[in-house]
Amino acid sequence: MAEPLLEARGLGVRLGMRRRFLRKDDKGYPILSNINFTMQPGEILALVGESGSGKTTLGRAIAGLTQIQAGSLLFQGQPIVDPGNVATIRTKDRAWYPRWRACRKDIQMIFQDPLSSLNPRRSIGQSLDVPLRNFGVATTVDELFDQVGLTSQFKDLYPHRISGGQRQRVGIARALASAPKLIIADEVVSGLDVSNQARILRLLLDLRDQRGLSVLFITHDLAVVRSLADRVLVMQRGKIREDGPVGRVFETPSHSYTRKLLRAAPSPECDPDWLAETAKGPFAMDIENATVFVTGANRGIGARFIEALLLRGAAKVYAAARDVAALPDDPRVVKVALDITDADAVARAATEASDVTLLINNAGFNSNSGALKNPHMEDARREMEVNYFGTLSMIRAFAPVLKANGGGAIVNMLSILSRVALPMMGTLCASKAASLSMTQAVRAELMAQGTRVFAVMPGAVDTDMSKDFPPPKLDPADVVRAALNGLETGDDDDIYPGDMAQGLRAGLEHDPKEVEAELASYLP
Amino acid sequence: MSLLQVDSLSLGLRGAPVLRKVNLTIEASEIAGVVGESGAGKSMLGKAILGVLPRDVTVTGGAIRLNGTDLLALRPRARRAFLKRDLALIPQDPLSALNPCRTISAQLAEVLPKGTTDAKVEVIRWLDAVRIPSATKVAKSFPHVLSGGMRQRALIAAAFASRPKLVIADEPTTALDVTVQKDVLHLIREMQRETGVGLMFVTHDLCLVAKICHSVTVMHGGRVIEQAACTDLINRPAHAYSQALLAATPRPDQARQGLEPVPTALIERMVAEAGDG
Repeated sequence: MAEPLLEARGLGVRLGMRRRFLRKDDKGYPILSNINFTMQPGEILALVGESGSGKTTLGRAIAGLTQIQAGSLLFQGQPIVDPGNVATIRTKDRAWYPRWRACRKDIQMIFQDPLSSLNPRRSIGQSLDVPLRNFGVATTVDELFDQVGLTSQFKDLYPHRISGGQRQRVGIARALASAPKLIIADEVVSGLDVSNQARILRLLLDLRDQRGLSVLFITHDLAVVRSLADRVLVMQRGKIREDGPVGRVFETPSHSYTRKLLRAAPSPECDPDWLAETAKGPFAMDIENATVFVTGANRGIGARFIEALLLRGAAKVYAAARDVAALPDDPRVVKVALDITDADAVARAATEASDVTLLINNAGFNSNSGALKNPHMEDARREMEVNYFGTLSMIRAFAPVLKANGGGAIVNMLSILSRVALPMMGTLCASKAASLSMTQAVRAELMAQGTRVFAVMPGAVDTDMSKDFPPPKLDPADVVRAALNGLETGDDDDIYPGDMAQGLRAGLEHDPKEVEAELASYLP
Repeated sequence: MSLLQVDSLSLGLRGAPVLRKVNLTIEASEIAGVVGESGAGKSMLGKAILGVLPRDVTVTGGAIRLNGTDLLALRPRARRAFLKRDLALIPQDPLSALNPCRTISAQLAEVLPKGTTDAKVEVIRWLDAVRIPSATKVAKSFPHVLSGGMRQRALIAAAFASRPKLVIADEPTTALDVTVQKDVLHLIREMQRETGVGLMFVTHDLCLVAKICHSVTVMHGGRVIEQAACTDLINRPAHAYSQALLAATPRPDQARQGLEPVPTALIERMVAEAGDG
């Protein structure tokens, strides 16, 4: 194969986070990590993903508008950025700047909104004249107009006078002014109607066919990708999830995220059931008419679970707690006095509640002490006893019940601390991590009998158990909503309610070591 | 009697026609799509029904009947009262439709019907109904902290919370991602089914029309080109313009589809045939 036009090796981009604004060791927040791909000359490569997936940042990084912090970017075999030296471009470093400057001519970008990227005080002719002079290309504005299908009378008009489709052509003409080899087109057809969209797509195809131009086409519209691109990169949360020829990716997607995107892309065919099918992912579970067993139901998240389950139409709710006095009176609620560390009591509860289809292991214990600070081992043992052994014995007792009732589901209320350690709560983290590991093991073992196992990992929640933890804390009712919505939609079997959990989860995917420093900023 | 009946409505912009004798009927519990390219007049039709036409645009003829009452014959104050009670809008840009200085809860409480006893509880119930996670937190937050999808959900809650009879959705998902778009459309349809309101769905995307609408009106240049049941229009479009629109729509299941714009010759012929009237 010929030498690739563009090659990215382990590309990484971080952007500053506001909370760390004034900190000296500001390393920013990872937006892209470990991006690897190649692009051949004359290829139309589509970059798809949802908002926030980092597709625009990648486009800007390649165009040199965003600083790259890690990895390397090779253009026609030559490295064009120096990730070691962050200030390379701005300081016009002697070794790098000429090389960078040379390929600036070959890589051009077309922006999403042509009205804001064209100078309103310059006529279109003037706007196009500047890059022509700067790059010293022997083309005239008229020739550029010709290439994009505009007549020369547009030369004297100002951007606000012309239509969106025409403006986008001007954007393309300006990008073509330096006779580039690669054009980065960022959402150039969103906001245009079908006719104008078809004209712009046709123009890009023609430019590729006639001049061998390569296009990196950034979009969220999968239908457009199918009609235009040769190859497609699917991005999610700053990583490339799938890379392959368009036909292959669309017909046999290999990553679950690609499948999810494709399920959501509408085709012009009447199908009233299409909308309903999204709501149900592969792990979906009906809460209406379910019989639910909730442990630790007398306070905090457990109490909210009981309320929410009754509201969503659960047929029967077994509310289990050591102290049943605080449990609500309701015809659908069965109060169960239960200490989950007592194996015999758990076994008895399982025989009594033989109609359960959903088990919510919510009971937990938190000593609020570090791994070394607490003079006694008792608290650490108690945490393990309740959070790990208690949950395990519940699952062991109820797995046959769930199997007899057709599969059902188990929800384990864990914490984001299952995945990261926090100095204040060292022993709790250990017990929660053990429970997460056990959840994954149980999930694998129970798959055969059709029981789905969910892990819910919220950040700090506003309950009396975490009263020492500083705000912002999640409302327990919101944790419950997230868990039950997660069960009903069933997109994922790991549920991370709240911003803190979501943020840490994203951090874990990018750079696990950074996360502990991140977490420390939540401490008092 | 139909829920909404637009009878040969014409609008003019300083003498130039914007809408030309548009007829449209929407029944209760119906989702009626209005499609067309930019400049077709589809948004103007929605604005005329809502009574929020730009200053320069005037009604030059026709009638808009909501449950039999001619909106255009009402005095402005009576019309506003009528619209406040019976009509709601799901706008295209959720950020500009929300007041940046007020919390979601305050803005939702405003549209609840008269006599609502506990507005706070009701607001959370509605936010929950549109599947907003962390409804308690979202109720207390200001619009700028929410994502686009969340804002649009809050506005859907606001649209249905006022218990209207007709909801106008003007390109409600153009600003959203595909997966969020599907969720939001599903939500709109579920809410519409539960409340039994009529829904006018204005869009330029025939794919969305195919998935959600019962009937479709195709517009071009301020005229109605074709009106048909959704399945008929998608499977057997009668008018050449509808056929061309379908051909210009890219499809996720076919390569190199949607690269043909609507032919200029067809547009010229249509304009010539219709004349100026």
